[in-house]
Amino acid sequence: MNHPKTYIVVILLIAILMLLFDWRGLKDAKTKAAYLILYVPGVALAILLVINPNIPGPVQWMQPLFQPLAKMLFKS
Amino acid sequence: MERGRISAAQVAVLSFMAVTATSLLTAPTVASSVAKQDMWLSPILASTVGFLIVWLLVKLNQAYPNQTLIEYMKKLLGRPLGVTIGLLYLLFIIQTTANVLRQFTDFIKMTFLLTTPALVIAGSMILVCALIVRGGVETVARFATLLLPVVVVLILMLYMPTIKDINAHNFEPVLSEGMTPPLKGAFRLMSWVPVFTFMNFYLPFVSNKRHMLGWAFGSVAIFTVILFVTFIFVYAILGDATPIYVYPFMVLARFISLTEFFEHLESLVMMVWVVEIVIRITFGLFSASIGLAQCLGLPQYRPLVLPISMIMVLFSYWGITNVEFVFSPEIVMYYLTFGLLLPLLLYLASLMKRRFGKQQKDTEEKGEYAV
Repeated sequence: MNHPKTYIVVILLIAILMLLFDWRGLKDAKTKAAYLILYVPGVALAILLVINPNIPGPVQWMQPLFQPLAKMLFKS
Repeated sequence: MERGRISAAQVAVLSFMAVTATSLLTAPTVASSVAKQDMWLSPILASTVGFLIVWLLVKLNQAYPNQTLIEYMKKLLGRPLGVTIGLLYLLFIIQTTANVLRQFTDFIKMTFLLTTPALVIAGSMILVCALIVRGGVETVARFATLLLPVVVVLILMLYMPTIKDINAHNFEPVLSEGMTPPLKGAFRLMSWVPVFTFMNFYLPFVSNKRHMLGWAFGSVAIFTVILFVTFIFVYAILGDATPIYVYPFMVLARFISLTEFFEHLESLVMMVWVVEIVIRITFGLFSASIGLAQCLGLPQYRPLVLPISMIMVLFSYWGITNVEFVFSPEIVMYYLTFGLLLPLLLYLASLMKRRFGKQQKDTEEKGEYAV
């Protein structure tokens, strides 16, 4: 990422547009809660990824989890 | 939640086009790196798993006709366990779709739009897919049927001019090292075949359920045939060099020069690829949105589409340096765990439940007769 500041501005702009687009469709409190639970960490993660693109992600946690299984299958 | 009705044929077309999407370009490299000249056997071996998955899903759907996997999992395993595994399953869907998105972004960035930021490519792609998914299940399913002729014609346009260059000697010696290399190749193909499990989110909306099993088997069969033909063409023309290229299909297209009039056909590959990827991502995005809405018990899934698509874009970059990891054995095991093992366990659970329930009923009836 060459220009972190531009990227952050673009991401915030997209986030605001998304909220404006969706907010009227969110009728009940449960949907609102679910939407915000996806939305807030999403935007936070997007900004974090712009600042530091090398954060370890789910792939790094998953590979050790499935390694024994894969090894077992390949040996037999 | 969703009142749309689709036909069995539309589900079949949608799912085979979605699974073919990424396999068309990258599967030849992956399979040929382990199976060499016997790679044409791998899709046939891999299709057995595909048939098994599809059979399990249709059987489960017959037991619970109007429910998706998430709903009957909640019923079979109990609410707390069902919701937990359901959320993990949704994570699996989002992650596989994000990997496809990353493959698409990398492909476009490496071959066509060299200086465009990756965010723009991924963002515009996911925006189109989100709009299709917000249109409902009918839009998703009919979009695939609508674009089927385009894809078929373009793929045939790529195959036909290369027929004269086929060199069948590339396949010799046949099975020189026994069945192990094709089996290994088939195992590598398991990073595509488990995607057929997403079909369960479409089965409740099928109006002619009687024909579902036949169409579902047909879907897997067509997928196998497409992959088989692609492997034959790619290996017959490129030979031992297939594993070197990242996109052998692309090399094939650059190879074509018919009467010096048809040249630079790689733009056709890009068209096929974009269309197929749109279908693949809508396939995953609709599954993830409706699955999450059902998992949390929300009345509608449409508001969740945009946040989930945002998370997909993030997952396609979070902690991934290059997309080659998709073909590692660990990820294949991850795919198989959720794609094959989960439906299998659910099917066994439903069988046990039905049997147990029947026995209970029988004893009750007997008791009544005794009285």
